[in-house]
Amino acid sequence: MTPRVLGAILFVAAVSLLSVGRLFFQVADFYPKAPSPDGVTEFEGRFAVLRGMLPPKGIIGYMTDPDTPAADTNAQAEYHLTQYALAPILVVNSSQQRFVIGNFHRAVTTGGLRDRGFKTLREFGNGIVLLENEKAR
Amino acid sequence: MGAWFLLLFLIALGFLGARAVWPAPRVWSAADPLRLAAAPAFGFGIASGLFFVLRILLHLEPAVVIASVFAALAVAGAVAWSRARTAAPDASAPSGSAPVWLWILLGVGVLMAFLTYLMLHGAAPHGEWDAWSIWNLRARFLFRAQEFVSPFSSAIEWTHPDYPLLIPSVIALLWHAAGGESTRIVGAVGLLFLVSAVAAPFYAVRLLRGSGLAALCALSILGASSLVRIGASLYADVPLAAFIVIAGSFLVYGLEVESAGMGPVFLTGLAAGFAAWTKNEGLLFCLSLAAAHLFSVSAVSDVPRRMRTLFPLLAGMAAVIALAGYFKIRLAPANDLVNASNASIIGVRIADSSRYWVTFWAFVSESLTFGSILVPPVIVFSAWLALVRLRALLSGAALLPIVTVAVQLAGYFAIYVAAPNDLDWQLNTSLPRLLLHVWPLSVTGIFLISKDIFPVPPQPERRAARSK
Repeated sequence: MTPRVLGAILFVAAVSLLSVGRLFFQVADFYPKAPSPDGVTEFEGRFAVLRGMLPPKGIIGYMTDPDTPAADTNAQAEYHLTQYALAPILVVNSSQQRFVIGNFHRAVTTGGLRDRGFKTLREFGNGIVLLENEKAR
Repeated sequence: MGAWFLLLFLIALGFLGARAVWPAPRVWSAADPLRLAAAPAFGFGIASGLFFVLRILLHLEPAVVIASVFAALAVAGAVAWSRARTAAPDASAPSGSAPVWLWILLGVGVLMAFLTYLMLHGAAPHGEWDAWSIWNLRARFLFRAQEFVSPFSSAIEWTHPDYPLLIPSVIALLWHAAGGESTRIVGAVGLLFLVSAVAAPFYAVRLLRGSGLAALCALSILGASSLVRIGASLYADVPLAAFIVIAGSFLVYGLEVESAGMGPVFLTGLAAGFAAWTKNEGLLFCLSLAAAHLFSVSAVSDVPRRMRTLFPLLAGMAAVIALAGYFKIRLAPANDLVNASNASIIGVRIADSSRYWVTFWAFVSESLTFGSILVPPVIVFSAWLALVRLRALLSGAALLPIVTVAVQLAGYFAIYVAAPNDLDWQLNTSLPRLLLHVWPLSVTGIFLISKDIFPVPPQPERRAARSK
């Protein structure tokens, strides 16, 4: 094997191994500090009781804090995770369904919701509420 | 436990299915490691097809689907056993050897990649965004639903209800076997696809070019650490990359080793079809592979054989694309890229030169930073080829992976130019993953055209001396 060829092998092998190694050490450093349970499992836990109350199929609405921008990534993620938690129920990001899940981060009052046409059916804690849209009955 | 047993049976189904189509003698044969490397992917593909037909279309109980997997395993085993009686041995690998230190480096790389996958999966067992908003969500729909209309409803268009079902249906089937949802099963499926994406090209290059180049090929594929990161994110991109490299590897093997018959070529078509059943980009891959198969020839004398192998290739693809086509036509809403477009809008986008410019620079930029590799892969492989040189006899078959990748990338480029969504957003969110689809096949192509550089021990002379 000529020095030129040996150099080529060492170059390719070293670049590859160091690239794998860099990710390995980054992840090894982060892993012990990773939250347990993970964020998705924790988020899902908030919907455990609600999921048990829902029928095996159907459509339910979803709403969050009223002033949340439509492009808010966290809000979008929470909506997607709500669908993930409640499948096979279809969760549509609209309050125009008869039953609506509220996922609020700021305090909302039953009176405030009633003024907007929603009757609170049950509160599950952590800002999760099952609402009935009285206009969509 | 049921799911873990079923997982093993699916690997056995993939292996025996490959041996039924591409037979070998009953003893362990030279190409069996290649069949075994691709076995999880083939097993998952076959099982997902059974799940789709029996569970989603015919609404049969999950137990019937599981029973059908065992029936398929029995049939594949019987056919493989029967065909093994008359099968010729697989062509053996070239006898060149790799230095021990290269095997040690590969072992260290594989171990670090494996541990990284386990840690990433442990930290995010449900995967990342696309996993829980598309792939595992769809698996939950299939597992939990008592009807199969909701998962494909346009009311949840953001979940991309038109995306194919290979991954969700295999996971749903394994959850049925487990009797509940398990993130460990999902992680194991992801890991097996990752293993196939590295092991299949390793064994293909080993059979065709020898151990040394194969070890470097596998290490280079792992060098794109995003392969492990995105694999552990439980996206469908690594399974797609696995099917793409399996298809490419089997096709080069089938074309270079004529004694293997048409079996590897049919399996190529099957793997390409499964790619289309995994992600929509797989449909483009079927076209890219078929085009490369026809045009990647080094002489006019190659053309008749390419025409002969075209039929098994297309037959393998058609078997699976029929499923995907039925799903697209009868169950799924239109794809967002197609739905949001019409001919006039596409015409406007195609005539907009700035879109070409933006897309071109995004491809250039991504090729320099791709995969979190320490040195841009373009530089690494340019230096590699400059130092070791190309093979003296460069066959059209050896060039086929590179030609396929070039056609696939040209297709991705065209789709970006015509895509309806915001171009910058589309490029930022998807281009790294799209390049990952063709990464293992690109690396395999590089090592297939590289000169043999590892010393070959003088075995023929020794044999001749013994016979004297």
